Amino acid sequence: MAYFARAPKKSWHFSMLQSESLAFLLESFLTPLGHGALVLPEGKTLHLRTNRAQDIATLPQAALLCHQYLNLRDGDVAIVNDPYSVGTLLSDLTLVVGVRFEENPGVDEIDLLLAQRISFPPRLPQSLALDSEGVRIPPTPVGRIDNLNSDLLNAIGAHPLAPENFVETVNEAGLKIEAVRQKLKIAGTDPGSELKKIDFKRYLADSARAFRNMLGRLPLGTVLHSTRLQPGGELLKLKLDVTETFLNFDFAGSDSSDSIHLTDLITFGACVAATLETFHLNLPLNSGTLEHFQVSTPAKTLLSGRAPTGVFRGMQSGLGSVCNLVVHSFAKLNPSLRSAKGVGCRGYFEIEFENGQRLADSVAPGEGAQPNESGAHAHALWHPQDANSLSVEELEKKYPLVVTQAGLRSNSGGKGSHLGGDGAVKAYRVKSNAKARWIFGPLMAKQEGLASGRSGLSGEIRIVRSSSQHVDEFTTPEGEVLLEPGDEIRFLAPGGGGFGPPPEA
Amino acid sequence: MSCTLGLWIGESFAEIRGFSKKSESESAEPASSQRPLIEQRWFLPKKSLTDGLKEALRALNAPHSGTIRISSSRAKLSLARKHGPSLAFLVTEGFENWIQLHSSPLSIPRDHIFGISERALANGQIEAPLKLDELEFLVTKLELLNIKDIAIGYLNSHLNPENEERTAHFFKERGFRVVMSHQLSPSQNEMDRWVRTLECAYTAASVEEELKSIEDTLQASLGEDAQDWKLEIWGDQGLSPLSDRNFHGIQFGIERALAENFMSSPHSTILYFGLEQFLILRNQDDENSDGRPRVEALPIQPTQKIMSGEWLAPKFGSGDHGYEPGPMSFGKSHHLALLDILFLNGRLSEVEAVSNNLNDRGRSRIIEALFTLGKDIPSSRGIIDAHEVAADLELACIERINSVLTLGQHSPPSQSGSARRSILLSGPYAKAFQSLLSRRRPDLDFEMDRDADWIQSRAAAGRF
Repeated sequence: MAYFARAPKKSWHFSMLQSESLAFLLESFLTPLGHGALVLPEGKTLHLRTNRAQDIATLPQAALLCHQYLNLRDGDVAIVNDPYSVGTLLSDLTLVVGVRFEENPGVDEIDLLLAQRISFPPRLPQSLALDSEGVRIPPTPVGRIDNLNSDLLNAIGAHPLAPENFVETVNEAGLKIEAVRQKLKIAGTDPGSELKKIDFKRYLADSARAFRNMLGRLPLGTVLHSTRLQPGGELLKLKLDVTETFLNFDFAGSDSSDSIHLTDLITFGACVAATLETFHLNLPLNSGTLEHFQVSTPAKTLLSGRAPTGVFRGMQSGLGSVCNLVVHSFAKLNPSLRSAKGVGCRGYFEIEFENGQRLADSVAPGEGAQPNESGAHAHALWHPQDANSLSVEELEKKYPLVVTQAGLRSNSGGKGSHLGGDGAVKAYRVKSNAKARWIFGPLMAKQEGLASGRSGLSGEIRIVRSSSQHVDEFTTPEGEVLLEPGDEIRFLAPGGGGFGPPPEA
Repeated sequence: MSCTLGLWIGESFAEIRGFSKKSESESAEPASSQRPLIEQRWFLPKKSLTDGLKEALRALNAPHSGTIRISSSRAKLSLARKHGPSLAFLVTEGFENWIQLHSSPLSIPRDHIFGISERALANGQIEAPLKLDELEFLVTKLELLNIKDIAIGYLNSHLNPENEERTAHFFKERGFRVVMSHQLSPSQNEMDRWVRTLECAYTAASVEEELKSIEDTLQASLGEDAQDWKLEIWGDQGLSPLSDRNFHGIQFGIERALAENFMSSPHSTILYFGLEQFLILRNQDDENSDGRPRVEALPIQPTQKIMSGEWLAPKFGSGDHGYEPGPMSFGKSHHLALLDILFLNGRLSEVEAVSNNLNDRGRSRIIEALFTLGKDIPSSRGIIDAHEVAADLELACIERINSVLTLGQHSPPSQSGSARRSILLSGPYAKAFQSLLSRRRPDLDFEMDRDADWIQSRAAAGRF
């Protein structure tokens, strides 16, 4: 008790350190989940753990929506993935569970909502409709955490567009989230734990105070900036207004689109992620920090998509475009922030074998160089790599193929006083008939350099035919091709743009 | 008389403790049940490892035979601080940068990774046999780069090691030290195998010189009697003869030695405050446990960085400074660390080989540094009180440790029975934390290990 009641006064510094310690503890709780959130039932986000822009607004909202619809009790579980309410891609599933610290018969109120996002390899859509991207799941109760409704999960898993190993993966995630729930319950009743006696209001207020202090250090002002998703493509417009208390992002004037659709929550997350990235901020994501972002996404623009249009292409290329527009808008306010960031999204592909197996994977482009440093290699800034992706040896064991190359595409980054990063390359020799498909979107265009820096190599799909040794090259943003046994297909991501004139120039 | 010496080698400190060897009937007792023949600790920048060892052997009036058991931090530090010997990594052609696309704890320069045109398939069949002339060409390159150590990681080598073995044989014949991936792990995930292989090759290379110097010192000090002495080293699998040069997992040797030392402790939780490392050891009660406690690093370390940050006040940063050049309280560094806060708060005065290296000039520099880092703190008096900030940081450090105690519980306090939970504190810095922890967690008992001050070398001595 002495610690918190350090009478007669608590210093300002002490309070901030205490809040920083709590942020550390909350982060530790969520670490086993990968992407997770702790949300107060009344609506405040207590802590969010993710490195993906698309989770920032959607994950806490998914928890709240499930609670709002289903009135979750301690140990109740719900799942949801609907992009047009609180989801991202249909391949991203959110599990939500209620947590009550004290066991008290007759009392139903929960203390926290715990949410986890599970990512399956995305399915490349065959059309522009959402239904071709997977199974759409509204907020759905799936039983108790110690007894998930297997009939319901099996029914979802049996859908032809359901992710592979759906039921097993959800059950595994259930075990993980239950372990975290138990730890929270123990900590919530431990007299020495911060969680037991934490003043959430003060914690969120301290977070807000720290964030406002950061805002005071940003270049203040208003800037208008726009970009096209691809040459001649849809226009994205942003009015960025930085004040001492708020960051206002207004996308009025942006175009609508036939194929690229985002949601207001995804756009919100993109604005937050791009801001944190630009200023290398390391504050916790919670309601105290997020309340300083105001994002306006007018109706009938590509940022406010509506069902039944699909979101895959919006998430693949639109998300990165919004993030980059934000980054470049900050750079207009402060030129020292200029960088040739590139598109920052991944190129997705899948190979479907004649036995019905489907390999889904992606390649990341090189990052653009910055005024003071070269771009990172194979770094999709706004689409971090899935930590669960299979190794080369596991792929070769599971699928009828030989991996012939995996790594960096040498010298694909643009020249400059600082070099653009190299893109990734993955190549496969198939052992059976197969169909390969890809959605590379803007990755098929060259990533331009800045300040006389050279552009990097553009993305490319290359196929070496075993029968003739002929090489087919494809540079279309999307495509599909048939493969025969012995054919080798190479997916080459673009290099990042260089910054500044190359030494020899 | 025969004896056993426990030698702990850290980044900046070394410690040795000697015990007479017991008879067979007493052999299961831990070293702590005996009065030590010798105990010495020294600061390595002032006295070298070999000089300290020579002194210890002289003071011991070394008997005709004995065993020296070593636990060394050198390998771990080389990995953590990424300063160690140059290493070449040979992989299947086409996968030269594959490891760089994953979050590997090691960063190996791109020009030290070489693709070899060989291939084993997923069924173990060799699709592309090794070409020895390609390796001949590589030897010249490695010599130019002054590389003596090689790690080999070929795809599917766990199914058919032929190409790895032929490569290793080729380079060993030419005087290179070689580590092969298929020998280290049967994992069907090349990335797991490659990381382990690189770690093993790297650690072997980084400790070889140091361990050779110990062998030479023993020889020089004991002459012909040296042949009746055994040298053993701790790895993650326990002790192994130093002469085997099996350095796999030696970066976890200290953790293993401590785990063996505390495996019969009645305490479920042990907090270890070593000179260079803070750890938590948890005795497991689940059926999968091997009886040894699980060891994890605490989220705060002795030389943990203190920095300004988004929270507008000095706070603990990620990572630690290490002892080179040491905390500011040792008089050289310009970087503030946790030990400086403990020093300013008067908690380091009784720690052997630390207290006599504390530099009082450091005190004013620490206060200046705290003042600079705390300049954004609003103060009603207009003056930042550095001592108050130091006191707050000390409490924040305790809060970090408490977060681990919170996360590590397996049952609610109400189900743990009526007995208060008791936690054992060990390590030379443990005393500095006892009162702070007791104040923060009055519901827990923090008991001092009777051998806390010398646990590092005591654990290295093991059971005998």
